[in-house]
Amino acid sequence: MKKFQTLLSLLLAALATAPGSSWAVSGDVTVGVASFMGDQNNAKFREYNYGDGSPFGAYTKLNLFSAPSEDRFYKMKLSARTPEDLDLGTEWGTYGTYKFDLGLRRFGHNFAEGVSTLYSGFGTDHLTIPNSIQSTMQSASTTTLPSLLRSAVGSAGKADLRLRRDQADASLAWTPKEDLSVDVGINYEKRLGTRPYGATFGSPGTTQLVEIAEPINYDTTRTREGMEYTGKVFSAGVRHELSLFNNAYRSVSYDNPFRLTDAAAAAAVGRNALAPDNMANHFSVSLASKALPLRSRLSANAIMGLLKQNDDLLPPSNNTSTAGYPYPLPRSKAGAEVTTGLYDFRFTSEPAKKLHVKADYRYDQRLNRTPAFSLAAGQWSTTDSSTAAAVTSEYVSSIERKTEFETAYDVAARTSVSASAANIHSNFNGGSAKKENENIYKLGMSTQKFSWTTLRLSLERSLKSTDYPDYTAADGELPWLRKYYAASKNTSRAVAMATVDPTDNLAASLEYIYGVDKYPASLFGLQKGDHQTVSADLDYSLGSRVTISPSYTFELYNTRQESRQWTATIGNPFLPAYNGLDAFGNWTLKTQDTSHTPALTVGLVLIPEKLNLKTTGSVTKDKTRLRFASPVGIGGATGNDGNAFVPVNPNHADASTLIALNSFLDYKVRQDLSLGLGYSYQRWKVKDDFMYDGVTEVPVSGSGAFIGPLNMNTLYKPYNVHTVYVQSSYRF
Amino acid sequence: MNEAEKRNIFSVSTLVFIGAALAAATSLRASTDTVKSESIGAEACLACHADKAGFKDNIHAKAWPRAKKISFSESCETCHGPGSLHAAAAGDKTNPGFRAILIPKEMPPEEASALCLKCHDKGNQTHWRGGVHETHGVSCLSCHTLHGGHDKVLAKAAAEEVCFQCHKDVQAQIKKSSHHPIPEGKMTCSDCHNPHGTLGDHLMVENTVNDTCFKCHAEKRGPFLWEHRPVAENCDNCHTPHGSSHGKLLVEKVPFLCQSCHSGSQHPGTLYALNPATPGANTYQRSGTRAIYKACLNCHSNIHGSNHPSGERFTR
Repeated sequence: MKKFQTLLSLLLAALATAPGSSWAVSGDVTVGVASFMGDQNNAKFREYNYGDGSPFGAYTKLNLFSAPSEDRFYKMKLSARTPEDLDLGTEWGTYGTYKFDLGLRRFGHNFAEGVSTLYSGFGTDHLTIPNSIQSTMQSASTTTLPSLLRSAVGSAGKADLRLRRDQADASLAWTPKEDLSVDVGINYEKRLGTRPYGATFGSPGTTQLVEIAEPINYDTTRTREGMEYTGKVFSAGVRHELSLFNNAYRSVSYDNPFRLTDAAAAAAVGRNALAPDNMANHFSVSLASKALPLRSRLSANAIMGLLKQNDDLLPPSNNTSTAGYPYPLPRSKAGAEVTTGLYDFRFTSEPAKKLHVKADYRYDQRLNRTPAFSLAAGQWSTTDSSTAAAVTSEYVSSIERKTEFETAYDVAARTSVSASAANIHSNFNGGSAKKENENIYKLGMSTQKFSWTTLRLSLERSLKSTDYPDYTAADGELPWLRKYYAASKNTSRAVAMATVDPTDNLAASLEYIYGVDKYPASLFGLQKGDHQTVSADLDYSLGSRVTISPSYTFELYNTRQESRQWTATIGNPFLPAYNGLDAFGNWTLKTQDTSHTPALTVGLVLIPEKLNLKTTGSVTKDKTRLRFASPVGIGGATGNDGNAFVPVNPNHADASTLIALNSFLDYKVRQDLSLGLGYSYQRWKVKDDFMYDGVTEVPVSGSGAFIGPLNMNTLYKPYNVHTVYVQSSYRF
Repeated sequence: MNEAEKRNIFSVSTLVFIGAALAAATSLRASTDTVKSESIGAEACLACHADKAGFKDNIHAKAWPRAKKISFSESCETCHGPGSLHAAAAGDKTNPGFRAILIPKEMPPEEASALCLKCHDKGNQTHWRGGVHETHGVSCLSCHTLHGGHDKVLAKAAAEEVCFQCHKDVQAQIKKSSHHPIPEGKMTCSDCHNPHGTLGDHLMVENTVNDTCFKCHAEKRGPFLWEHRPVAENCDNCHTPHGSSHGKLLVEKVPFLCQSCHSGSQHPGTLYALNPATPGANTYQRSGTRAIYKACLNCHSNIHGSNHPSGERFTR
């Protein structure tokens, strides 16, 4: 350990910015090894790691601190679990003058492991399938296709889908004078890997549909520079932020496993656009007056932004068999541009004893200046076939004006009530609604009347009205496209929080949240959503050797939505009610999500100052209920009703249970050295009739026909993992 | 002594008593008014409060000499006020001078915060006044620790423990199967929120929800050739950032989430319940082919926006 300290001292001395300093180092280091038993290679278990799923692993944590002089410091922290999962941060500076931060991080995101794929070239923008497979599938009949596909998939290669994130950042916070501060920083991230991606070959339906691996090779760079003057009379600041996103791949092309040659209905090679390079630039100015009477403050903030994206456009289609190929483009680049402007004026004051007021005005505009992109009739190709309908892009610009007034009054010692009213008026150019008006009212109460109790209550009521028209055949949108975010909405919300700690060894808290959104003008689409959350927890110490902390949270979310089935055989889809019943083209869905999360932490001091045991466990049990309702069509005729049957509700939807348990025994060998033994258990189960029941890479109908998509079965799988770990910690 | 003389004596005595009482009270008030508390220095404070000696290692004690020209000797009284009367009371709580000291944790929240705001009224704390935490009776001391060791909020690994003292619902949500990597230690609450107050809603670190999300998810920022309006307006239209039982942090299961807007246009309007006509078959075979596996996202992969000329339906 002495040699380790010496080595660290030398390392720090090499980084010293002032010679002749004393580099006494303190800190702690922990090293450990772990053994995994069970599904340690499972992608969901390793979702945010980047290990290789092997049954053994090691980890280390290091914290260093050094004060080379009374007013200077150096810190370092390192956390590493595998070679591909680490977090290194270091900061140094002079107290009250400057601080320099440097950080490096690497971690991953795992999506799927060991999936079967016909494709070669994972991780690149060109995915290929042997011509022999394409040729075989192209000439296969509907009855032989499934078995041929299963045979090809069965002998296909395996792949993992995951990506790695590497981040580096550096920042400097500098105070050259007491009233002046400067902040500069830069952050860079590289994302590299693959993730699941659905891809089509043109014709509608799922029989020309595959799941591929989207190549990820992103670079994101963010910089910020700011300066702020804070004097006794006023403060002023300027700030600039720039974000640059670069994608090494503009598109991904992928062979069609079902076709070797182009056909009018489907291409032999598909090609999708990937996330384009883009840039966001923001510049802000702030001013505040601080020397106003009655503890008042007046501030003004302006933030102006420019977002641009100007990638080269791909051809509308690469299917040589479609009429009109190749298709000309009205322009060769995207030319997308959005300007934003946020201007805020805020006044706070205490005009009388115990009275606080706030007035706020905010003007927020988002102007999309992208020139409209139009493809003429006969050119538009979204399914690799030209169509008679022209299509033009639509962009929405908005201006929002918010005015808010809030007041709070201390009605008693450590007890205050507050009330606020706000109006938000928005205008839109493009989109469904041309204007919106929302009034928001809030009431709140907060009290710490007794030192051992805190109670907070808040109520909110919001009424939003828009001019979003209800259904007409001529409104130009797709029939019955009902955008709930543009529709009139009434919201009510209540929150109650209470904490009590009547004695030194007991603390309890309770929270209740209720909220409901109603869409009074929406005959279709989302019509209502409500949620409730109840949480309770307790911290109890039994003497000085036992602490128990149980907690429980229950959540309930309900939604109601209504849709109307569109059937091509009926000219006017606005079907009338029949025999006093709701039109048989309608159907209703009520969803209910429930979540139960009990948790418990127990701490035991087995031998005072020597041996401690801490156990933490939680269970999260989620479930979704789907309840459909639909009147059956006249005589059950499908011509009148797209689904002429009484719907059956699924048994399972997003029903999962996640169990996490960790128990750690810590033995203090001496004041600066401890040994630990730990056990961890994690289990995740899932049931979902839509996504898991019967899923295979080659789905078929009841009659054996291939129904698609041809997939890699990348859904997260259940897992069960036991982990035993030992570690040693040394403090120096 | 007759009645008139007795009344005179009583009146005079009363007047004398009242006068003496007034004189004594005035004298006492005068003595209190004129005896103001004065600074005594940190060494005197530590003579009784030795357990606070660790403040010497606090960042305030380290930074003040250079940043604010406040020496360590002046540090205690910078926040707690002059301590001579309090020290003179020598622990006697019945002595009125004992309370002649500022005890932030017993002060009303806004007054306690005002002590901190004397210096911390800039940068990330600029919009504290009038912010949602201040309005709901939260003070700096609700989250930050100056005495008695390590400030959890400033340690990334433990910061969310402080937030979860109140936000119990969020503590449960991050334990759901689809979540941001907060339990894994890759993120913390302050990566998205500035609890000190912001110009926008939900205490987001950037001015809007979307700008905050785009810090990490810049590939979704666009602007795109084909814009998906609910995406451009607010990521919360489809996602719930703290945790969800539905994949991809969605607020509702697909395809039903999509159908909450696409409520009748061609195949989006199809009723994707189970068909009873073929009992015994698996769900793939009993429901619409567009509800299975990843539902709408099987085809509409570029759901956040597309830059493909043929991407109007986000399939390209």
